Formats: sequence, structure tokens, C-alpha cells
Amino acid sequence: MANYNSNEFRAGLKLILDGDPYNIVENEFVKPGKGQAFNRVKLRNLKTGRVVDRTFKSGESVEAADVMDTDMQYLYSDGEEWHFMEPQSFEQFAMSKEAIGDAAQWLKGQEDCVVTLLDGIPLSVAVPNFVELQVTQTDPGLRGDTAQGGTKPATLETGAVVKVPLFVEENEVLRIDTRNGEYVSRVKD
Amino acid sequence: MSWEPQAALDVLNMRAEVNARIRAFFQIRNVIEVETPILNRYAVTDLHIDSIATENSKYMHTSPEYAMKRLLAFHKCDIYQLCKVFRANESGRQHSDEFTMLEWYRVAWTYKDLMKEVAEIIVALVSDYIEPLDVAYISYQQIFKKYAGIDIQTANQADFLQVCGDHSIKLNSALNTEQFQDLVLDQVIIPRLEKRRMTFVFDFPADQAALAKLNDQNCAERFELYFGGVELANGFQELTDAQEQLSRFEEDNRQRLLANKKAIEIDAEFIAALEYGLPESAGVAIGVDRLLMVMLGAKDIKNVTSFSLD
Repeated sequence: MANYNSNEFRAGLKLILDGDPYNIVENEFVKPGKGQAFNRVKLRNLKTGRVVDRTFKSGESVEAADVMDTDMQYLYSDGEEWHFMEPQSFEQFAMSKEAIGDAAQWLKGQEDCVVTLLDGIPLSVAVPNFVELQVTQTDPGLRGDTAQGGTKPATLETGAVVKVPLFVEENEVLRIDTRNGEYVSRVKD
Repeated sequence: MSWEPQAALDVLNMRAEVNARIRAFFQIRNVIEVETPILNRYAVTDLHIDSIATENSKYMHTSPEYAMKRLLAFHKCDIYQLCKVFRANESGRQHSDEFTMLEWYRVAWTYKDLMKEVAEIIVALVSDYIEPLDVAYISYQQIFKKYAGIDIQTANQADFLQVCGDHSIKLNSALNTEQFQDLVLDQVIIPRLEKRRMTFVFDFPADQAALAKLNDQNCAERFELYFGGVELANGFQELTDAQEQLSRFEEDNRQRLLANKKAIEIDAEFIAALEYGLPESAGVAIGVDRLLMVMLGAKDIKNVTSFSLD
């Protein structure tokens, strides 16, 4: 089993703590001149998304999470699981509702994603930064009404609800930034 | 890859000015500038300081202390040195494998005299940039009581764990008392000190004596200076007893073995110099990069160095 020494800690490194996989968000080395060195670390639990603080004695070693980032195509969801395919081997992987989390709202099919596998099981997915989705429902915009910042909610074909400018109409296709869930532009055919 | 310097020109100017003021400060006080080798035959035995070895089995000095004390033993006069020192596996916002140290020794002075001179040089170096509020002197025991609510004479593991918990420090593994003291001082107490005040902490626990003399109360005559939220200086009433020094080095090696580190060959030339006779003296080292960080309000040591490897 591979281990990481605290000297190797850096943002992005993935570890197992108390049986759960974690991603290092921030690592700070602290040390009194003549005293014991410590690593004060912020880690994100890859199952729950929760960020925790942990202080390690420098030199401590921690089990490495055997994770692999793999390019996959999103296929479909049956409501319980989300299915992805590795395009070279055609091997399929199913991801649980908990693991896919909020990423599900941007997926309609055929998107190229990066799936993080832990011991061969999908742990998390990075969806494309930008997706193009059709508006299925939005109220007609009241022209000239900019008092509320000039936005209104719109429901997209995947079920995601985003704030859009008042001029957006149903059936239009929008470009959305998945990192903050914000409207970018309309997509013209 | 970036070839450009990471420090701005005004930072380089500030460093040049500080170096000039250091030399001026000691010149009028008749303290001689010396140079000692960076490459050495022996590494240091300190449990928490690791030397960097070279391919031809020499070691980069982690401080010029042993060589300067050999000069001190032979010539018995006040000396200072401004040099780069090197420590393995130290890299962080306040740490670099390579950093600049100012170290000096005062013959026949006490460590209490020397604390006052440290305050004087800091004021001389930072003036025109920042203005220290005042100077405070507090013992190691008192500072733990005042800022962490801990009596270090009686505190047990549960007391230290409580303080860590109160300050959102969650430990990954158990610590011994000395490790708890290091963590609480560095991460709980120092951040709570008034940043504009020069706070000297003196009389450390005997097991943290390093190269300092012990007094009648079994306290180490050692001090540190905290200023601007960082540890800036460490000084000793220098241990002059060669036998005592040798047995401390041997104890270091026992501790190193317990910590799964290699034992270090003891510096026989340094011990021989102590046997010849080190004059009663006090010595101190200041981290110059950190002083520049404080003067600049910089959060990262990289902001005050021209280049770094990471």
C-alpha cells in the first residue's frame, strides 16, 4: 500500500483518513526554529464534500488514496445511477446519486467528463466547464423591469434552474458555466 | 517556468539597506565581522534540525554557531556574521531551505544584556519603515499561563488537547509534552501577541536548553524574540562546559534514534574548543528574511528573496 510522507503534501494530493478519501486543499508547514515541525492541512472529503482541518507532525506518513482521473463520456441516468463509459475500452461505470451530487444537473448525455476512480469505483466527476442546454420553462420577461437586477429563473432541460436575463425565452439554448452555475450567453444556431 | 525575480526592486533596496545598517551597527560597537565555512565536516545533532549533505560527504551549515564559538574560544572577542544557512525539508510561508542569518556573540555579557541589544538593533534596522510599539519581557512559564491558560509545570495531555480544541487544531496523532509545547507556542500563543510589540520570551524548560546554560531553578537561560507575529531571534547564555555539551549531543542522538532518524557524528572540533575554554558569553541569531517580511508586511518568505526553487 502506497503512503505519502508529510514532506510530500501539496494541494491536490489525495489521501485516506479514517477510511475516507480526501483531497488536500491547502498545506501549511509550520515549525518553531528549534522545535517540532507540523503540517496544518485543509482537506476535502471526496465522499461528502466537507472540508476539515488536520494537523500532522512533519514526517508522519499517511495512506495514499489509489485514485485515477479518467476521461469518460456520460451516457444516461436511470434516476438511481449515472452511467459513464471509458471510450477506449467501452467499459461502463455507474455512479451513485451521492457521488455525482450537484454535477448531475448539467448532464444530458454524451458530455466528455473526467471521472475520479478510487479502487475502480467512481468517486467524483468533473463535468465540462461550459455546457449548452435548452430552456424548458421561464416566465415571459417584463421589458424595462430591471429593478431586480434584470434576471429571472429559467428551468433547463436537465432540470437545473439558473438565473437568466429577462430577454431569454423558452426553447432557446443557453451556454452555462458549470463552475458557478451562471448564464454566459445565448447560443445561436 | 519563470525566470523573473520574485522580489520587487524596492524589496531588494530594503534588504541592501538592512545589510548596510547591520554592518554600521556593529562597526561602531567594535564587534568584528567574521566568515566561517558553509561546508563542514560535521552535521548538527538537533532532533528537529536536519543538515543538507553534499556529494562529497560534507554538510552545509544550519547556523554558523559551532565555528563561531571556535573563533570565540581562541580569540575571546565580540564577533558577528551575516550569512546564508541551510536546513533540509523546511519549506513554507515562513520557512525556506536556504535563508539569511545574522548571528553574534558578546563576551562577558549575560543573556539579559543581549536581549536589550537585540531590541536596539531591531529598532535601528526597521526605523524609517515601521515603528515598534514597545518591548516586553515574559518568561516561558508566564506566557503559557497568560495566553493559553496552561501551567506548564502541571499540565497534562488533556489540558493541552483542550487548548488545541479551543483553537480548532485537530491532531492526526498523539503528541508528547514537548511537541504540545512547540505547537501551542507556535500556533496559539505567538499569533495572539501584539504584532507591533517586541516580545522576548526567556527561561525555557530544561529539555529545550539546546546550547544554553541552566540556572539554579533548572530553567534554560535561553530567549526568543517574537515580533510582527513571527519568531525572529533565538539566543543563549552560552554553555561553556564541554562535558555537559557532549552529553547533550549524546542525548540528542538518543532522541534521534527514538524518532527513527540517523544518529549524527558529534563535532569533535567544537567539543575540543569548549575544552580549551569558551569565555562566558551570550549569543543570538536573527532571521533576516523574516525581519524583512515584518518590515514589508509580507505573508510569504518568497516575497523577500530574489529567487527560490519552489
